[in-house]
Amino acid sequence: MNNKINMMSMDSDVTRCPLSGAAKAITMIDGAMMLVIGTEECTYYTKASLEMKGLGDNCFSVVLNKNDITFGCTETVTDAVYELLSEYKPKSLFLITTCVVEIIGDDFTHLANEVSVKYNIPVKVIQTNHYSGKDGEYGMDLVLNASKEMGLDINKFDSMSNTNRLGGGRIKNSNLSQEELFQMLKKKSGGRISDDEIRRKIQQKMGGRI
Amino acid sequence: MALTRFLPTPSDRMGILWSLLQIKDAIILEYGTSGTTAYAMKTFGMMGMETNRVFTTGLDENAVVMGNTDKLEKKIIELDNKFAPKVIFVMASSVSSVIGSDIKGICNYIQNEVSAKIVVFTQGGFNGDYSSGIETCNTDLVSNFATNKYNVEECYNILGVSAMDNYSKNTVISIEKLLANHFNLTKNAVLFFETDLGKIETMSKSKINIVISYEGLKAAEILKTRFGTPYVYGFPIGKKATDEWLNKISKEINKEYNSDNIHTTRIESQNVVIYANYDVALSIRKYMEDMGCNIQDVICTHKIKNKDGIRYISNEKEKINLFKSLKNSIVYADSCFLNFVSNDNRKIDISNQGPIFANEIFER
Repeated sequence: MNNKINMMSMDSDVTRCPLSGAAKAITMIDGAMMLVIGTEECTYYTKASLEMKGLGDNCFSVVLNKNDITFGCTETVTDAVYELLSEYKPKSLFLITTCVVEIIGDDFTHLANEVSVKYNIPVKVIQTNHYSGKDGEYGMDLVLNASKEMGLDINKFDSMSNTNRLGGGRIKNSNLSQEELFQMLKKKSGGRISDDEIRRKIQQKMGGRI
Repeated sequence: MALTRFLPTPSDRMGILWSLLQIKDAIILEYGTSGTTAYAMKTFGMMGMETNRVFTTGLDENAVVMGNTDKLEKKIIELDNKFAPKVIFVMASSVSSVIGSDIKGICNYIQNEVSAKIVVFTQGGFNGDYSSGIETCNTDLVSNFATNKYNVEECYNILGVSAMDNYSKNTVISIEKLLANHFNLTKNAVLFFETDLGKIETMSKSKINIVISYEGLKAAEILKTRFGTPYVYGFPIGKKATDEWLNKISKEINKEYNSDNIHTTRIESQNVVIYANYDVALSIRKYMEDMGCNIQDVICTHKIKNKDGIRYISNEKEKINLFKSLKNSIVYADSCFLNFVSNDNRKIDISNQGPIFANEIFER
């Protein structure tokens, strides 16, 4: 029975959902909040997985019902966005749309622009429909690129859980310079590993690329 | 008022999924995007469930736009060849429900090509909440698998257990201890908590079915009609209720039971507010009424038609305002909403400890 998990992971087309990547990336941005728009499952799993890491405070959701899916969910989402903005006053807001929203084709760009002007904060729509073949990394990239556009600071040096995009095996694929990686890992190690050791580890992980 | 601040009420599909995950030899195949499965498995894995029996077909744009179902057919055949399971549970997803894939039809014609029995759950998460999912799972599995008559043995089944309740394990262990001590009965199938298909198939050998929530009632009725197995329904809380419950069981199985002489402590003129799932709320209400308390409000955590004076509030803000307004009451709720209750109330968190037969937390 134990080898059954391999069947799932062996398949080349099995990837993590862009929603999980996007949610992780938003937790790295100071004062940013996210509004996940989707079914009970998408919203529940996102909130639950972030809460288990102690990062769930800035995650809110709009749960779509049959009526929203049949007749469109713009009205419901608009209500929720205004409720969130007036009650929690975030520094920036990300509206994350999921598979079902993308299938029914509701677009919240206009709403994002409207509330952005009204509340004077950056608001961005992030589309995380997984059936288009993208993965978790793609979701992260969407948020990180959007945050660059919006002029937000990404608190990558303080986020030392696995929400850190550069942690673990991803060093190999990161496009940061050696010095940036060194600074990040130095902070992450909290002085427990010597500078030389950190540099050696970077060399090792990057497979002699630098 | 559409904003959800906390964990949303899980859907019917989630209820089915976590029930099926409790069947040790079941293979589950999801017809949906791989992200949904991966995300669900990650979350359930973190909650301590064994998740290596779940597979996904994956859905791409071709399947969503053109309705291509080749992947589903291929995966069913692949799973059948690789593991030769007794049964493959095929589950729809929200995406396959929205695009309107005819999963039942596909599974019907592919059934002839595989040796495993295919059981389809078409719920995509839009037909109610977890409670209806658990009910469907109880009913469908009993209808499909508990079909053969066996000789009656000294054992019992438990129905209507929700694996996601933190106190489900405590509840099952408490029942096990009580029935072993008083009637010398052993446990057979538990729908759904750490069970297997073999036990579900032999449910008819049990002397009695213990139904601890209304989600298991329909399944118990099926077993009663099919094999004549009696059932006892209820989720007793407190010594008195447990005693009554054991009495009912003894009558059904014709075994002797000596009732204890129980005196209930009375705490008159206290207001009580209860926020719990239907059966737990009913039991706490009865328990507190026996103590002479005044029941102010009973709210259900899942959708339910207004019955027995228990209501469901879908709006989160309304619930928060209700809890904020409480004064000088005993409040039974989960930790999430107890945070909004002021300190002049007596707060009792039932999310982690669980109101079970052992009744320690209620009789302190």
